[in-house]
Amino acid sequence: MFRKLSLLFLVGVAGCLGGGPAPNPNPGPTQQQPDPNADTGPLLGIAPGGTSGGVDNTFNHDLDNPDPFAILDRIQQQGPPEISTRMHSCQKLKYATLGNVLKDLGVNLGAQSTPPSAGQLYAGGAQAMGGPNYGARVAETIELTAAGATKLFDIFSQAAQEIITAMPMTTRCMGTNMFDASNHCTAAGITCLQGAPASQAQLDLCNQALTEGSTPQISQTIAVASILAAAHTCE
Amino acid sequence: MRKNIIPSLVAVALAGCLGSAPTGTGQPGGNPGGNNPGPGNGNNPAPAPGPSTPAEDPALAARTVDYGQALRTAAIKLTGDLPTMTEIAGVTDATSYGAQVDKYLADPRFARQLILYFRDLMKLGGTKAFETAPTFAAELVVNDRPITDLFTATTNTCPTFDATMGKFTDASCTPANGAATVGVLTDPGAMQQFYSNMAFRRVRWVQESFVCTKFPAEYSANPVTKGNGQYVSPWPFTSITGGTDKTIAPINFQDTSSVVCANCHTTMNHIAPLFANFDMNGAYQTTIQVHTPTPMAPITKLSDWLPMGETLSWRYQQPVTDLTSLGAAMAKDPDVADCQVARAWNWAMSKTDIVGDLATVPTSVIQTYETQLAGNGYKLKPVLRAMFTSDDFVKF
Repeated sequence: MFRKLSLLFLVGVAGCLGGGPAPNPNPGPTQQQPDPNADTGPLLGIAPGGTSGGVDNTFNHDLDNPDPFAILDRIQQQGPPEISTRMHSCQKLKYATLGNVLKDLGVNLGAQSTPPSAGQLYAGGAQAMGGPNYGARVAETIELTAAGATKLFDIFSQAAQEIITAMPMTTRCMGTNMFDASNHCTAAGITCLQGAPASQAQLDLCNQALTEGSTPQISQTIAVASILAAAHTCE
Repeated sequence: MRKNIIPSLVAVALAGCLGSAPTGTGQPGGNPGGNNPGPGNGNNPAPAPGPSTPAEDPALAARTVDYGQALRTAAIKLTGDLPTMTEIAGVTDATSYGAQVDKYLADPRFARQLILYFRDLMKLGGTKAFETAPTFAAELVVNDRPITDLFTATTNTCPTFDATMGKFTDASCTPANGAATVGVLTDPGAMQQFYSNMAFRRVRWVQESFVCTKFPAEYSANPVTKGNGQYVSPWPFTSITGGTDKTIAPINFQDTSSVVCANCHTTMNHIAPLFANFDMNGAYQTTIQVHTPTPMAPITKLSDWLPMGETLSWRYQQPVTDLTSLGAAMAKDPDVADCQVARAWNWAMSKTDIVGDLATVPTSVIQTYETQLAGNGYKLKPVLRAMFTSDDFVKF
């Protein structure tokens, strides 16, 4: 059985890149007797589209074509390209950009702690968050994955208290406090967190979050982490 | 099987959906593509919605100008940072927004962002050797040089970048053994990264990075049936090595038993020999350094790619003799310039990859920028400025 499969594989691979039926002028250890049951049809036993490498050649064609059903789904959801390409999509924050954002908000990326600090989570999260792998000729991913989003939100949760403390001192936020003296969210604080003007609805949601934690500190963490997650899911 | 149905399904899908552009988005009341869950218009006193023509799609017409969100997105892309509170407060209208975009384009951090952009575009980075090509591309943009210098520059194609100072330092990486420097086409890092049998990976890198499509790259107006498929290339079918005699054709590029190899290889085989003298470390040698994927992996001979008498070419009836003329042909190819525009647009609008994800951009959307690029000496920075201040960019 194994011999038959091997022969079929050998003949099949030769179909595209090696010229299967031709006798091999340089018989090597891979040459075998023809199998009377072998597929000798025009496809030489391989499925159409088969361009993988094998014994007679070592080059695997990279058939990483986009999934047509995914493309169709995208078009159906987003509309035709003439429309959808004129509208912003949701690209995840680049890994390096996330580092810049955290640093600018006062997060110490080098801090070590138990449980791991936001900086430690960030440093260890490159792969989960789709960072590039140029050694494998892979660019940074553009879309957020479930694993990437989870890691991102973990980092924001862990960074929240650090950001609340550091915000008034950061250059970017210019003396802004996230909460006022009566422990209400400030519009300026939200603006600084997200890098865009805060809306009244956001301010209301932030204040609502401050009432939902088991402790004031946890409530503040929820509020800040939620704003960061909502704002920075997309570039 | 799967590969064979892909073009058909894509064609059906595109025919069914792309033609419906004027009638709607297929997502009633939705926000097609514009899935940015932004936090609203905020306190920014955004101007009234921009003018929309009567024929404009309802989804497009429903967008409103939001300079606050536009500033945030522009800042993240162009500087890698969020805008400061001062910048946010200072942007109130198109004029102040445009002025801030100009500041970002002049910011040293813009160079850093461009390097990241070109790293992903070229799939190169992480080591000093792999940084030079993306850095050179970024330098071209920052210094307002033609982006076509990517394929024609003869010196200083391996600059370094000091991220702290935001400064490029020119450096050359002249190939050894008397070969000429040809933009990134002779970049040692790129040649090393994309080393492969018969130099095909380097050809693919050139095609996908700078023409924005996978192979096949050329299509005849009159495809013909060959074996189990259609032969779509304009090249004569026998213009590449093929046949069942392995002493003549170690690889049968004319094979049609599973797929029509010649659809891609008629183009590829006329280019690949130009990249064959770079060894696995990206160094140019006087002899061919790539191997033919047959037993014993022999060094490839020119006849492994092409029959005797065939000339090297960028495209059908566009002969070239060396990498310098290949670069010149690429620099003149409108598809190459348009590719840079499409990639830049996808970057600005947060789209997925134009090749890997087939996130193509209709010409009607970017024709203005294509014309601008061709008309301004192929300087990309003004085109980026136009994109980041465009009506589409500032609307959400």
